Amino acid sequence: MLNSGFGAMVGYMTLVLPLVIILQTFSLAAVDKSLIEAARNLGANPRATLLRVIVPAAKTGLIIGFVFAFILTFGDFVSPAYLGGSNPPTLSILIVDTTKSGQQWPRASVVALMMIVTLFIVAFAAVAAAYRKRG
Amino acid sequence: MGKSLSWIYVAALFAFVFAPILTSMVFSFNSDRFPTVPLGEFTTHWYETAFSRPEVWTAFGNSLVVAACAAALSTFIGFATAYTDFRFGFRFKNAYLALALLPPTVPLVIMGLAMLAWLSQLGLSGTIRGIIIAHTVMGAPFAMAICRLRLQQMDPSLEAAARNLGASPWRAMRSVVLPFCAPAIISAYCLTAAVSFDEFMVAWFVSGLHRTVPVVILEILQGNVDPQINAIGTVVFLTSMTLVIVSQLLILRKSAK
Repeated sequence: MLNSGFGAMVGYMTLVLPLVIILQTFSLAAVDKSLIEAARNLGANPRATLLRVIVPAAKTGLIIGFVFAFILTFGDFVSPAYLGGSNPPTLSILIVDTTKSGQQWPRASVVALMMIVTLFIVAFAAVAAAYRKRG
Repeated sequence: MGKSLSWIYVAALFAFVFAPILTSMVFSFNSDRFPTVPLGEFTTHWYETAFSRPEVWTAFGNSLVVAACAAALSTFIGFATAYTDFRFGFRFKNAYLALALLPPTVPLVIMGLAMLAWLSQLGLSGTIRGIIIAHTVMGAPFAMAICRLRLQQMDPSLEAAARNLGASPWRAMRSVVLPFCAPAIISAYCLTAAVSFDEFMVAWFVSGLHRTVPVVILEILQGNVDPQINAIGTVVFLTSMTLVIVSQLLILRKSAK
């Protein structure tokens, strides 16, 4: 399991899981309990209640959890380098290689800027989705 | 049935998150050279060899100095930011707050690269001061969040009353605001110290010859797998865990009051 994409995944998971659990627990705890009771009263089974009442009501927090997980894993270096064995290499490993051994700072800066742009696009898209009202 | 299932689920989650750390702790006391089961005998040999290396002691010294200074600076900046937000309204306040809370969302690799480029322009890269600056930037938002939560619970009229009774702004700050925020300030200090003590990426980029503990760990790990790593790692984990727990206890105690 070491030195593979799977190993890196396990590292990512231990990194972000606690944060995501905290964020999503807060958002799920804030769901109005009477909504759930109402859905059950109106004859929805547990599955339908979960998918059509609880998840839409907690949508914002669930997506914010996703965004934070994405930001953290996207830039993480330790997991892919030491658990994934740089195989497959990620952008963060590329940055470290070009600065640490190659001394090519402009090149590393380009990669860094592209990473920031990607992060901004994903974060904005996800936040827009999180706060979009159902039409 | 459902209840026991959810307990099993929670236990599995905790196992997933903490098993690696526990494994590392167990093998730090294991006499075998390689991490294998069944375990060998109980030994503190790896602690002795790890801490007989001078570079480990230097690294611990560096880490402690950096954590103490960076935590003090970022707690000061964080408290000042939180107080500004609490007390004053001004144009572009939202932009100010967004900027103040931005650093944790920047990936650490990019932060490290940017810090290296910037600090080397100032001639500070590779120095202890450079690492302190970098860790201050990273810790300040956390300190601000903690202080802001505490200020939220303070009655704004307390400070107004102090001023009415003839206290100077400085006196009001010293005898009303600061005592009220003391638990949050200590808690912020512990948390930012833990953040700095744990931090690898930025310290690695900036540190040069003045390496901190996480940097030394990862550099030994790059060479070979050695039980000494487990020993150092256990000490680091316990140090930062203690800091975090102290910080959490202070937060919980003040909200219980």
